[in-house]
Order: sequence, then C-alpha cells, then structure tokens
Amino acid sequence: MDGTAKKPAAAEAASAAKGTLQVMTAYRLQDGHVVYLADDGTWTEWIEEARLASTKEAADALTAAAKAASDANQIFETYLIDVTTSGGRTWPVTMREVMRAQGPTIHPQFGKQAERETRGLIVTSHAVAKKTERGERRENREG
Amino acid sequence: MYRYDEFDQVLVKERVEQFRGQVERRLKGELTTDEFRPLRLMNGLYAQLHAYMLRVAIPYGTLSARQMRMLAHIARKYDRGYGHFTTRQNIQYNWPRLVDVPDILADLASVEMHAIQTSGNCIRNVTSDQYAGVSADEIVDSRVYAEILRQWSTFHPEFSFLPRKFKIAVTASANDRAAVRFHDIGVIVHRNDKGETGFEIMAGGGMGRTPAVAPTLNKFVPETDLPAYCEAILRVYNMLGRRDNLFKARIKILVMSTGVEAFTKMVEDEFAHIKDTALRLPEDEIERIRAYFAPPRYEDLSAESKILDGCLLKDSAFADWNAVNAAAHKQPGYVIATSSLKPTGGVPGDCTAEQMDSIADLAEKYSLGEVRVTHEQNLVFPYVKKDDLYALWRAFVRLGIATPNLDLITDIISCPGLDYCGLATARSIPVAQQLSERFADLKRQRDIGELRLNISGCINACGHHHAGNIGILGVDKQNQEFYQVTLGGHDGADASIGDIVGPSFPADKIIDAVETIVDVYIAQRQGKERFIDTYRRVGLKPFKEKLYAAH
Repeated sequence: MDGTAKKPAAAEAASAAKGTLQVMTAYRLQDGHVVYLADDGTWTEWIEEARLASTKEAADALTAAAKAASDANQIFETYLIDVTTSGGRTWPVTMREVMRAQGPTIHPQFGKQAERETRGLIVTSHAVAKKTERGERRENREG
Repeated sequence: MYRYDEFDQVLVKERVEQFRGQVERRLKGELTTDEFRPLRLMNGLYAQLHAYMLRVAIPYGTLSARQMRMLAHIARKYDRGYGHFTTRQNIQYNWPRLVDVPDILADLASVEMHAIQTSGNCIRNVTSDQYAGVSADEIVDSRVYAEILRQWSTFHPEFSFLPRKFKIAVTASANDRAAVRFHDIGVIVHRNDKGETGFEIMAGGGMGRTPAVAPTLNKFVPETDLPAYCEAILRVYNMLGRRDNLFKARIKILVMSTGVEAFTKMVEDEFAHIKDTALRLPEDEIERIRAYFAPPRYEDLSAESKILDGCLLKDSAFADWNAVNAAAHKQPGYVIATSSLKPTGGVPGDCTAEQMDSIADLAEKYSLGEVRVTHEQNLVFPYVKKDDLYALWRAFVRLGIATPNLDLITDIISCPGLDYCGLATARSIPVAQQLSERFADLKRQRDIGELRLNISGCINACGHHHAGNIGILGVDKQNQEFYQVTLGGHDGADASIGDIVGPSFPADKIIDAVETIVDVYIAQRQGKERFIDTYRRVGLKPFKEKLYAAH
C-alpha cells in the first residue's frame, strides 16, 4: 500500500500462533486485484475459496507458497489475515479485510461487488453492512 | 484555452514509452516490487485497497471537451465505467489493470494529458481558483502564475526527492476558492498602489494529522521573482525538512519547529542569493504564458438577458438553482455555471462515462468547449451565455447534475475512504450519502444556508475535514467505524482549523449528531449569520452541551 498508514499485516501475522484461522492474501500483479491463495494452489478473487490454515505449520506453508508466487511475479504484497468460518463460510474478521473481500459498499452495479452478486456470493450494501458487521463483532467478542 | 506547450508534448510522450518499458520489465520480473514502486508512483499509479488506482493530472482543473471525452473513453475501455474527481482537481480511476496503464497514458498523451506529479515526494500538480480567468472578483487570471510554477517545478531535478509531497495553490481573488492557506505554499496575487502585480506568499499550511493555516512569509514578492522565491522556500525545506519521520516530514512541521520568523529569514537569505539568477522571470516569458490563457472570443452581449430573466420568472426550480449554482462573470452577458456532482444520495465527485461524454457535448455547445473541476469535486462551465443558461440547466437536470446545492450542506467534500483507499480507517462515502439523503429537502438546505461539510476516512485528511465548518473524521475503534466531529473549520480568506467537539460517534449515531449540530446553529444564529459566523461567536459550548446531553 502506498502512503503513510500502518500496514495491517503485522497485527494479524502475530495471531497465527493463537490458533486462529488464517488465509493468505495478496494483489495480482497484472491487474492489481485482491486475491487469496486457494486450495488448489491458484490465486482466487473470492475469499470463500481460500485455503485455510489453523496451525503455525499450515500458515508457514501458505507463506512459503506466497513467496514462491511473488518470486514468480504473479502477485505482490502478500500477508496472512484472520478469518472466521461461522455459518459455513470463510469471511474476514477486520473491517478493512471485509472491504477487500467484498469490494466497495457503494456502486453495486460497477465493481467487484457486482461480480459477487452474479456469482451468488455475499454482497452487503452500506445499510446492511452495519448490521452484518455488528453481528460479526458480537461473535468475535463472544469467541 | 490552456494547452500544453511543445516541450511538454515531447516530455510526456517520452515518459509514456519509458513507463511502457518499465511495466514490461516488471511483468518479466526484471524489476522487483520495491524497484517498481517509485517508478509507478512517478506516473500516478498507486496500489490501493482493491486494485491499482491511476490519478490523472488536470492542471488547474481545466479540461477541454476533447479531454473530457478521453476521460470517458478511458473509464469505459479500461476501467469500470466511472471516474472520481478529487479534492485536488484531478481524476482517479479505481480499477485500471497494470498491463493497460501504458496504453491509458498513451491515450492521455494524445490529448495533452498525463499522470505526472500526481504522486510521490515531488511538487504536485499546482491547483488554482476554478473561476480563474472568468470571475468578476479576480485581479488577474491566476492560472498564468500557476502555469509558471508548473513549468518551473515539472521534473525539477533538485526537488524530485523532497522529504515529502509538496502542494502549491494560487488564487487572484479576495474570495479564496483554492484553499491556498492549507497548502505547503499558498500564493495570493495582489496589485500594489503603483499598479504592479506581486504575490503574498505563505508556507507551511496543510491538513493531515497536524493541520496548519499557512503563515505569510512575504506580503509582496514582485512578479518577476515568483520562481526564485518559491525555489528559496523549497531549498530551505529540502535541506532542513525531516526525513527520519514520515509523519513530521511536511514543511508545516519545519515552519512550526523553527518558528515563522526564523524560517522566513532563512528563505529571505536564500532568496537574496538566487533572485538575480536565471530564475528571474523575463517579462516576455510572462507574456508568452499569458497568451496560453488569453480570453476567448466573447460575443458582444448586453449585461442583462431578457431570455434568462423570463425563464427565471416562469420556472421556480431553475430560479432556485440559479440563485445558488450560478456565479458572476467578468464578461457582460455571460455567467459561470456549476454542475453538481453531489446528487441526493450520490457519491461525491463520481461521474460515469456517459455523463462525461454528455458533459463534453454540453461544454462544446454552451461553454466554448471548456469545463473546470473544482476542489469541492464539482464541474464548472466557465463561459455560458446568459441566454443559454436555461437550456444548459435543463440538460443538467436530464444528466442528474443539476442539484442546486453549491456550498450548501449537501455539497459534501468526501475522500474515497475505506471503500477504496488503502490508508483509510473508516468509510466516508456512505456517510456522505446518508447525510445527503437526510438533508435532501432543498428548502431546508437553503434555510441552513452556506455550510461546508467535509468528510475524511482517515487522519491524512484528503476530505479536508479540518477545513469543514462541520468536519467528520472516520476512525477505527476496535474494528468499528467511529466518527470524530470538528466544528469551525473554514478554507476561505479567513481560514481556520476546526475544533474537536468531543468523543467520537458510532456509525449509526453520526447522522443524528450532524442534525443536532445544525439544530443548535439554527437556534443560535442571529439574522442571516452563516454557520461559521455563528460558531465563531458562540463557540463549542452550546453544540457540545446538546450533543452530549444524554451522556
């Protein structure tokens, strides 16, 4: 990311040790889109297809795969993020990663959010988003 | 109208080919991520939250119809059918593919456009008054001096690796429309008693985590010394500005830490050394550049328009719009018309490819082929005949850009926020959309009157929240969006930074909080006092009491 914000990756990387579920994310070099390392070793735009890591060893394996893909100039800016699988779907924990996973909460007709809809994946408008996020937060607090 | 000169054309074409080569090498792995980053940034290509983002420079916000059509073409062919006009009079595309960017830049170059100086620690694209050259209240066309500074600063070898980015704004009107006091260098054009042109030069203004209103270093720098004086400021900054801490690297921090007097002395000393060198502007060079901004061939019209007067009488919706969105022109029979990119519930500054194409058509038909982008994220038609204003307004209505809200509460400046930006800590656009809906009633908006409401999604303050009469800053509190409110910011000639009103509000309370603030203002105001005047008279207390009454 360009500019002066703190990178979000550091905080999330630390949580691998606690046994939280994680997935590997990055940006695809050719078009810059958000991608996740999938079960079959390819890079997918849909977090629902991401390979889950629940142990440090599994997370290390994701990191190694990401480095290889980065070295092969497929992707850049790789990092692990925390996810939950409640309700049978993989979904990020932080607000920022929810945004990266689903696309902007505006212009439902234009961006990644439109593609999600076509594929029958989760899309949240800004009004609904607040509710969903609150729901997730509650889960987090309880967990 | 303004056009690039021959040097720029060569320069820009060379740059496109250089970047094409750099992209190829990156894709082949000959350049690493870290090696490529500064190269793409030098060409306006950022890596954002969802994708790359390309920021295209629009010098002084001035666009020809042909250029606007090209922006539409790029949105349609390479992006997702829309673009976002920014608070620095530029346009951003949110979804360009790296592999397409060299072609996008080549397309831009074909209409004398580029993405140079839109990123990186250099002197950024110079901004100016959107009414420059046409406003009834200006001394001269400020773009002449903005252009001199652009030519001086473009690829300036000494200033291509500054401690941090550097922004300059120029105005020639007492009604500062370019927020010059919030820039690293602000320039106000003055005329002295002898009729000579000169500049009040300020430095060290800015927003971000440490907002500052720029103090004046020199009240009257002679016309010929503009580049030399700016060079002196830049030299002092380049030498002494902090490079050890990103958050303290802007010139405002240097000016604060040395004190204005000491800083000014260093600048004046440096200026004394360099003012009689090649940096002195020859009169014929000023004339050459002035020719680029020569007034168009106006028709000889009477100051009053019977057609306009008749339409104002028969169509009250048009009269409402005219009262707010039309401004006085210096040429008799002409008017400046601002189309709003803030429709009710819309995304401030966003424009679809279809709208851009239609705007280009309208510019050709009604505004001598020219449009201007404002830092408030609207589009100005600078050369409209009063006789044509009604027809133009009707076209605006069809396009959805006729909201009569200029400088009213729904004319919200908003950064992209967490919906797009990699730096954001909270969303800003959805807040703008909800506020725009809450205050949609035009009668109420007009009753509230002039009120600048600005929203930023993080401390970097691209949404100018510090300068908003009501400023909203999005923050992340334990993974929830909260919004901090400031009151009393102002970006005009009497600029001020907003005061934090108290603890921040959760996302579902911020809209009500703004409504409470407005209610307090209405209750407190005397006569036709604007929000900012009431606030300056009564201070934070009554707002605070009402906002936190329940707590």
